[in-house]
Amino acid sequence: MPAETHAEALEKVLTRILEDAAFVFAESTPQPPRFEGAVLVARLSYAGPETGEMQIGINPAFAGMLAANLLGTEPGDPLAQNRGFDAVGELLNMVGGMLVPEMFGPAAACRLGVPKVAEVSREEYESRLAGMSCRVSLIEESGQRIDACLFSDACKGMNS
Amino acid sequence: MSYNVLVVDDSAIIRTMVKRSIAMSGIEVREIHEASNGVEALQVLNSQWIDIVFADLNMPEMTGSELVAKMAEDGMLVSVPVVIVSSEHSQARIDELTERGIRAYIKKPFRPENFREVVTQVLGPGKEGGNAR
Repeated sequence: MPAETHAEALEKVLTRILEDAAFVFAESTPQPPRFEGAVLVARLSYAGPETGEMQIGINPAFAGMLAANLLGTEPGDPLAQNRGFDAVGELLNMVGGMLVPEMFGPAAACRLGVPKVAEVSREEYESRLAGMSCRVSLIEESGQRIDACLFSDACKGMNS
Repeated sequence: MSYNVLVVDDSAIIRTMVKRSIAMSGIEVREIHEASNGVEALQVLNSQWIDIVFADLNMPEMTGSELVAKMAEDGMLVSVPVVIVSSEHSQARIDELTERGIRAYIKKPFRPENFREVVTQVLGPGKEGGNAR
């Protein structure tokens, strides 16, 4: 599947999962604002008709709001405290699960790994982005940036 | 008709979401137990009466698929129904797991009605909950 189609699938799935699971409404933007400070990055490997890795990048404060939304509670609720890493990992898990049949068809066999989440500096994050095969940046209603990216041999050398 | 339920997922957020969905679905629950992977799940299963297991697939230590296989080898656990709750939407994967013995599959993101439908399908509308061992 060509890189443009991967990017379209990525945008479609990320937008849908954000709405359905986290009640976050976001739109694609070609000119995302810079991340200020650290970035929370979740990574998930996949192996099927193609092999690669998916990645989501968001800011840590927004990850906290994401956790609260997934849990159906307020950001200040103790239930949502310190759950940002978990929330971003699960967001990527859901994106990955829905993205695989979008990219490869419902009958394709594809295994997903376990999400790995880490906080990185903005500089490290930006240098990682430079090596991405496909990338989508969304802006949600309060102006928070949400990135989703793919490393894949199938779309190496092409950027969204 | 109240049930003892085991929720198995390495994500604390997902375990909470599953418990919340079960509560919102109207299913009568006697007790909900939690485990963060298949190893912990087996410890619970060997010490508590569990009527139904909701388990993720991709977990460290022991995956959901491995848990199903282990339960199938155990004379006491083979009859406990396992429902996979996973982000994987691949029909090929679902078919493979069905052949391995899972009773149903709920895709993430899920809704409370998904759990009610599955419990009715797997345990039936008129089955009683189990007794403590």
